[in-house]
Amino acid sequence: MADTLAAPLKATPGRRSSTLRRVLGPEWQLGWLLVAPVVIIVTALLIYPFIDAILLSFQERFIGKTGTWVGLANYAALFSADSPWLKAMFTTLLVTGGAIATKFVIGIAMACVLNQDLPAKNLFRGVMFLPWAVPAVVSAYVWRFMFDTTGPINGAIANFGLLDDYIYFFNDARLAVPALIVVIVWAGTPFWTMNFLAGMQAISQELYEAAEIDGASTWRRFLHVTLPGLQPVITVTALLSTIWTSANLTPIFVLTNGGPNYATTTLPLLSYFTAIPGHQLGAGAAIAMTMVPFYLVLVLFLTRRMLRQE
Amino acid sequence: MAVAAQASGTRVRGRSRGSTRAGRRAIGRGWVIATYVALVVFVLWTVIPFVWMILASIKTNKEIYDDFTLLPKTVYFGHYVSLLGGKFGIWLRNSAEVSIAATVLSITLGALGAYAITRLRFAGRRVIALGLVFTYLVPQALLFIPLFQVVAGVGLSDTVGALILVYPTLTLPFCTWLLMSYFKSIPVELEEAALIDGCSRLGVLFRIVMPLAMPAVAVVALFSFTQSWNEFLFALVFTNSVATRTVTLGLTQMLGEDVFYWGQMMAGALITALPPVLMYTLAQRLVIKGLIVGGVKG
Repeated sequence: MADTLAAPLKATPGRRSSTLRRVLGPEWQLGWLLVAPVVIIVTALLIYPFIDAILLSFQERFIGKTGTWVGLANYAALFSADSPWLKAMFTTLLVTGGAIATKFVIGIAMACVLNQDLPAKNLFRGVMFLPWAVPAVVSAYVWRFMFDTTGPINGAIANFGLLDDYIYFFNDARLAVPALIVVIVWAGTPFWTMNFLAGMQAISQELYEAAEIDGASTWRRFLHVTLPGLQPVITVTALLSTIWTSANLTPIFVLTNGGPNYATTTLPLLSYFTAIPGHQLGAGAAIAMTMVPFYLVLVLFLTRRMLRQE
Repeated sequence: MAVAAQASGTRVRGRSRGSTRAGRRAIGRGWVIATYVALVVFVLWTVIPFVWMILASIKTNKEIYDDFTLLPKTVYFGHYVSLLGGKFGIWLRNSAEVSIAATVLSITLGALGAYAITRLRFAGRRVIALGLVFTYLVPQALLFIPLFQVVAGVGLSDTVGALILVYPTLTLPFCTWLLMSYFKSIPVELEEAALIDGCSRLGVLFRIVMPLAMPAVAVVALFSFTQSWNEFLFALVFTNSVATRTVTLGLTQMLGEDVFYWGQMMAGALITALPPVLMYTLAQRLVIKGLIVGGVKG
């Protein structure tokens, strides 16, 4: 508190500076100086581009050219009969929903297992968190190889004569989507496991002891003590993972490049195809903007949660 | 992030209660068997892709494409040799440069900002703190198109510098936020004593707060480095010539037109995965405490 006590005595030089201090706070000069780099970077590279994306979505603009205003034409084009937008939206929902549900189930099962008194517990935890540390490009390539005709799955089929032909996972929409979900789940589950594990360790042991005395079975203790205790962690994890899973185009880019026949083209990938290889920045931005209402809801929920916990 | 603090606090409490977890004594024999079966399944599920990658990287092409052998007969280093003889070394160096630059920027600027927000009283700091949470959650997929224009506007298209410029958008908000919550847990009294002794604010930050915050700084460094090293979308959009690629982008450009050189691909994938995997393994304890909820995008 030394600083605040000294402040009134020191602040004699001018009336102007003392008014500023009163309005802006006693340490505004140094404070603003220190946060300036963060604020400038966030404003210039996050807030400004976001606003720019909104403006861009109302323009027809090709890479390297100046834009012209076209009003809602970019958005209107998304709803025309031959537009891939609607399909991409359903694909995004399908892939994200499938991946989130699977990550939840595997994540909670994994956390339950790792929460037991296992021999070499830390080793197992370390191993199971590994997929999370690996770059998305690497996990996608390793799995592309796993699913390839020269990979182990088709290798087993050939060696043991299980089927007449190889399985071409990425030539058939009915196989490509589940295969993609497998890869996303493999890479993303450790994040859930880790959060659930931490959440489980925060649940009071007394609750379990009380439930045991009341004669609750292991399964009932899980349903009535573990799950309710984890509820806040589940909400935050699910929201974060939904945002990241739906927005992440890297595994799709590497595994299927959106194919076969757009079956795995999600909205972020469609936005990329339109804007960068397709050179239509405005139309690409409009596709990205159609995801904003969805993210806005998730982010508002999430910030309220995170700030409340703070 | 808040959950992390909560969890690490309770972990200590859990320990002091003694080592009997609720688990073992209480659950029935059937559940014990189920636990071990599940453990084996989860370990295989996690490990098989890694094992397959490592084995393929030391098999000859004949073994991969014609013989379908499970284990290589000899260890073949040919894929690594041809890989490192090519452009791969340049891509590794680009990735290292970009990741180190982004890490240094994130720690320095994040620490300055976090210190100001938690210790100095000035108008606007609450808005800034809130803004950091929001901006952290904005997905890259919404930003790459306008950032493409920003990068072109400042004349950095297709340079490593473009990535150094944009990677802090991925790391800085979270790093500042994490350092803020750690700084809050450091008692102010220490700093007050130093201020009375005539130490400047910046002196306090670098001589007292930062050394005390080393665990958080380590987590922030790890987070920034691995996020930048693993990043793909920005590298794909902002760079395209062979000399400016990072290693993740380079990996995707290694493919032949129709043929997949899986041996070389897997050798490349292994080398690419090595730095983040090593770092996480070494710092596992720290990471699990510090990064839970809100950590690496997964």
